[in-house]
Amino acid sequence: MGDPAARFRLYLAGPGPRSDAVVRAVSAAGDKCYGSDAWTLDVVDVRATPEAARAAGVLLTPMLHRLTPEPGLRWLGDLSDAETLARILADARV
Amino acid sequence: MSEGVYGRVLVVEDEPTDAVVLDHLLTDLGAEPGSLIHTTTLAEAMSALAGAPTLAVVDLFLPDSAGVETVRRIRAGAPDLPLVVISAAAETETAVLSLQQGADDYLLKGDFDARALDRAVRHAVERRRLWTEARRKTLELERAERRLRAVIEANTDGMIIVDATGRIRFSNESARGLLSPEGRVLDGLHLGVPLAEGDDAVEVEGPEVEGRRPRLELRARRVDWDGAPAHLLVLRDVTTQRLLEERVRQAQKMEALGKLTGGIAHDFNNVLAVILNATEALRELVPQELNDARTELREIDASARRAAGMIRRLLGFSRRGYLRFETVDMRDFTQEAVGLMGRMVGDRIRIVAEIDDGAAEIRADPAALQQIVLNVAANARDAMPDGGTLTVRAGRVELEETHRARFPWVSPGVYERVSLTDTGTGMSDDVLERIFEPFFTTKGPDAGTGLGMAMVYGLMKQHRGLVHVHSQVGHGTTVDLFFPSANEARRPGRTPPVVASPSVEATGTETLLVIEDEPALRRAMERILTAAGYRVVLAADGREGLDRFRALTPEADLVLSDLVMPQLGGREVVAGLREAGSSVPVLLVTGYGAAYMDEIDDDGVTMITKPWSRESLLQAVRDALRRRDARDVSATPR
Repeated sequence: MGDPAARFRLYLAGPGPRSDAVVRAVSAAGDKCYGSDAWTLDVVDVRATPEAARAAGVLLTPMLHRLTPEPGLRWLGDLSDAETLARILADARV
Repeated sequence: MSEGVYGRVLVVEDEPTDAVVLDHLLTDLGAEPGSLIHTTTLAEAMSALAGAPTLAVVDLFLPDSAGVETVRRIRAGAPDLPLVVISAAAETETAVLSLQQGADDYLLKGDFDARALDRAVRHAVERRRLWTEARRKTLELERAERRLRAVIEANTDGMIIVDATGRIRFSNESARGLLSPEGRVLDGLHLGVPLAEGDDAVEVEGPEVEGRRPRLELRARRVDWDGAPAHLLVLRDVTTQRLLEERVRQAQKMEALGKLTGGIAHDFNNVLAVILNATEALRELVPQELNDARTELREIDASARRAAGMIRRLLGFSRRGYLRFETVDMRDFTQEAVGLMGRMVGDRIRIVAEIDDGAAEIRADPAALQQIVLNVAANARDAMPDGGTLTVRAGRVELEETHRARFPWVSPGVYERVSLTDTGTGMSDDVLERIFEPFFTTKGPDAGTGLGMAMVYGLMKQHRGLVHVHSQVGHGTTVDLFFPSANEARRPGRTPPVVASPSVEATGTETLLVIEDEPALRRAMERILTAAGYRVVLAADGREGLDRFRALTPEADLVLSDLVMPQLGGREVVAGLREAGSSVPVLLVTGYGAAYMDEIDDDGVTMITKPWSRESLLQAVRDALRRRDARDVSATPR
């Protein structure tokens, strides 16, 4: 099997119930939009690795970054609603 | 006087013949001869601008100026003046340069007639009018933009425009302060597209500033920016607001827990008092040879006493425990506490003490103070199983308005602070949030009761101080204890004397009125007091107690009353007795302690705390009667 079609990176500030909810929602949205084998998600804790956030120019969290396919896209705000996210990810595929 | 069709015409020409020709042409065209202003040098021309001419007809080459410089200078002096150049220079380049420098038309000497001059003048006037109008509009737009920019830049909310790809196209000063305190240029950075738009705010975190990540409210609106769809993002720093909300929520939770635990502790104390006294009574009844039975009784007694200890800690949390306030020197106290900590934490933990000379006095219960500090130190020890350093700092701090950024709930004033910092495992935010809850522990069922920090919280409240815990996983914990300085601390209410530990058998024959709503306790008191020789009269509540008291002849020697009862409580019983003119001593029995005694200012009132034992009850009764006797003697004239 080749590389996944889509790569995402999720930037969060520390562990906790809110972060857990965001990870769950993004995972569900990605699975729904791409299928569970056709995309990958990295989670970056900007508190634990602030240098990674700086290098990526991340100013606000939570933030979801679609690395591939090009063009790279970033979304901000309440990322804990899986349905809204799935719709937005699907729109961005077009 | 009429100024003719062209108004005041400035003629700048050093050649007299050319000047005469121009004069004739202009007057033929309708100019008023008296409105023609003749100058032959640039200097004269510049001076003549003060007369506000309405048209200038200018030769390029003058004794003191040459070429387009002449145009440039006059234009600089009169931006709105229609200006026609009349020159012998036939080069197209000169004509173009003249127009670029501000001339409105260009005529070649000897190559124009009156009609051409009239056309050129009218063209110049119209061109200049249009130019002036355009410039006025531009200036107005610039002023409007400056006004809008001032409003946007002065807005304390961060305002950002992101384009459809999420890249920043504009940011105001507040946004730059929030997102890039180090002054990085934000324009062009890939911030992101907001997921939602409208009035509902979502909470996000900003970049770290001095170890703190601001909590920001984000609102987004769709806007048009340079003709393309974009979003206006409005960011508001709500960090302090959230801290305050969190604090209020925490305080309300702790208050509710305090009331709950206090209530449970009160009822539990009644039960324990019955168990302890029934056990004691049974021990006297069970023959010595029944070893097994006596062993079981000892177990019951020990368990009840352990439970009583837990209740005391719960009362500490619920701020209803009994404290004895006195002046405590924080330097001496901290030094002693550090010594105790050294023995408690073991060899693997190094203790560093930093005690300021400024550390001074507070009003505190020394035993409670020790409990507070040692509880915190015990937690520090447990957080450093592989050893580490415990740093104890003591000193005076003045919390001013500026400290509200860190402690927004604190009243400004002078505080004595004791800080304990460990290099241990630290705590997550989730643990920190629950650290003061009773029975919350991270140590496992065998290692901790979860009452230590709850007690610290309650005791700090009773000292009118505050406790602040800062912790980070893997980076240790700092617990700051702030006590109001002695001169700032309000003196607690009068604390009724409490009976010391029982020492000798105390018996008597006096008449005692016992008011207790709990039947089992009432029976236990009756049994113990009667066995000690007293005459006992019983009442089940305050109202019945007062009735019984009035019916007694002679008057009872002592009234024992529960403090908290469904009908009249102990406080009301004391008031009723005094209203009836009696100075009978009253021994109040309480499961709460001093907090409920603040309003009772009566020398005839003493107190005993639940759960009492037979000895402590008898001792308390005897002491109360002794105090009455001593008072009577001192009141008798010699």
